[in-house]
Amino acid sequence: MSDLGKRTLTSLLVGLGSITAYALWALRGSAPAGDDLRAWALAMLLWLGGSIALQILAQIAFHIALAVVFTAKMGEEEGKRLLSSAMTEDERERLLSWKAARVGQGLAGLGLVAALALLGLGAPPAAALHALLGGFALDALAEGVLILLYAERGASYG
Amino acid sequence: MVKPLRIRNQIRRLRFFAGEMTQLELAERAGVSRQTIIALEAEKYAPSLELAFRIAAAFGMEITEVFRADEGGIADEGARE
Repeated sequence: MSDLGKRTLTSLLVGLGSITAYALWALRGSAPAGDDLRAWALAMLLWLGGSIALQILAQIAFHIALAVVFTAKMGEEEGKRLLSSAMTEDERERLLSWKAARVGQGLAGLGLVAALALLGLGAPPAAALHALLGGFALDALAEGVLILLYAERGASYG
Repeated sequence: MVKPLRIRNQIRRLRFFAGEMTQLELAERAGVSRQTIIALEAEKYAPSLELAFRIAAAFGMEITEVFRADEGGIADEGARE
């Protein structure tokens, strides 16, 4: 697997863990009531902040691990060059991200449609809020999976 | 319907004739990651025109000496999403 694939997989696993943790908390009996939008909004904001912090920490840990592996395999000087190359965001990485984002954004849009449909059907506002959040969470996960897929299968501008 | 082109390249062979230039060295000269050079050599990525020029320049060659386009017979369907 390429360095980009490993980095994306790290991010994907952290994201999955974070979403699972939130889902487990939200399904508990002590979670806020369905119409308490303020409490849900604060909980979601807290979760989003925590998830971003976790992603940053995971990426720092990943790059430290990569540096250690490269240095052990290739020596300090060559290891630094390899790490610098692995961290270069070039046109291929941007193409993979763009292609993945096209699909992911569709899923985020579906979240909005689901939220509106839920409200239309008389579901609690918190359910609609979660449909929106779920759409964005699916977007992030799908983008990660697609980047992995495109990185392995190949991609072109055509 | 116009058949898509498959971009072929001579990068691996040219690296060999350039004193076994490493993928990392070529990546640094072209301003991309080593993974991109690996993907190019495996023909899992078709470069932009700008990158194709930069790679050709790294070998001191014309772009057509490094890259060529084959019509039809796409072997990498997966690469054409």
